Amino acid sequence: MDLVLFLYILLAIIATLLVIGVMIYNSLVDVKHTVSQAWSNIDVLLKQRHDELPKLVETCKRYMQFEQETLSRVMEARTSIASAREAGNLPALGAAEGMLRMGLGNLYAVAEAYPELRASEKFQHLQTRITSLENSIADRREYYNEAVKNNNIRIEQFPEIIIAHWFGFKERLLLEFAEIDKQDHDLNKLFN
Amino acid sequence: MLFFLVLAALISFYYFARDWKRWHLIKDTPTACLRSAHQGYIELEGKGKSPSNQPIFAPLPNHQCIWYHSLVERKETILEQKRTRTEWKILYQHTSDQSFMLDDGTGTCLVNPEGAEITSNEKLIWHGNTEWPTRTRVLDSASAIVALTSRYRYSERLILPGQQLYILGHLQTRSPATEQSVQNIARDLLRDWKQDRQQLLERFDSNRDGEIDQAEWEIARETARS
Repeated sequence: MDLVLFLYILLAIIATLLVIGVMIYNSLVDVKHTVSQAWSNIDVLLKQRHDELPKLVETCKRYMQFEQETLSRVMEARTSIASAREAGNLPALGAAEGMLRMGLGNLYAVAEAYPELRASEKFQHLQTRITSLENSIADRREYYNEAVKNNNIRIEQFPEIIIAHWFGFKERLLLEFAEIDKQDHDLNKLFN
Repeated sequence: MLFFLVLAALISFYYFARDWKRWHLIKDTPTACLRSAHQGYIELEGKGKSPSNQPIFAPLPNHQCIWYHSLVERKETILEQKRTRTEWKILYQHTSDQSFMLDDGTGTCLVNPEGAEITSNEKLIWHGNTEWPTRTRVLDSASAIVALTSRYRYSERLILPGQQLYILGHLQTRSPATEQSVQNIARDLLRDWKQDRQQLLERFDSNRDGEIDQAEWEIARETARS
């Protein structure tokens, strides 16, 4: 009788552990998909901005013939972002994003010297559109990083670490924009 | 004895699993900003406000709020097998189904509370001897004595304008085409509601003057739209 009872208790403990294991596995899958979804949310905006930038540069070219360097920097950064995005290279994407933000900052600053450009309705529309996309990308980057942080914490915690190790749940990289975009632009240098 | 132990263990495990899942849903869902929020299931934080700055009033003496759940109960003494016991019988309860706004500093959205599970820290309980409360609440030191001697208990859970809110739910942005169809549906709904004046008054006449004034009609329109 004691042996039967012991077997029942053992069976109950194994069943409980199994159910807890399934619950942990399912929640780790949820967290992983939240990260993927957060990335898709940024990706869609990066693609939209990628399509808008040539229109902005073309509009600027008509008025800013002598600012080819500023314009080509923006286009170079755009190409770098597209390559990094397609390769899924987050550090390269962060660095290129920093370059683009600096390039756009310079472009808008230089545009101040061209009243006709500033008065152009198309330029104003594109500037507003791209600035709005930039803000959304910044917000969604925070969202993505929070999702990544949740994922990375979960797979390092006990007992999740056991399930994560067995089923190959991986740590994800944070998306960090290069420090370059946080530096103040030297406007005097731009106009001299 | 063993049967009860197993049953208790199963019930405990069920509640553990449910709360564990809910806790992780809250903890593992990142907070979105409204200005850049994606469509679908999201978490938002911000301040609650009434649509078009028209607050509603909870039915038990007119607390200004953006959402309420009101309850009136009567104390009843029941004789059972030569023993008496006291229980509270619900006489009236109403939960607001009117939409309210959430402002997170980057944008606003309309929140439809219908069918939602709402937890509010603003809970008021007070007692009296009339079926409908004649004063808002008892705050003095005699509250406990009043509670013991009173036959009626009034309680309200409220969300106040400006209160910090945490929301998990499905976000949908309306396109111009959807907006047009929403307007058509809202118009049809309002027409249906107007057919039953009594029910319209019960739902939207928050100051109980027997008339639907401009502010109340605005709330009815917002509700129909949501």
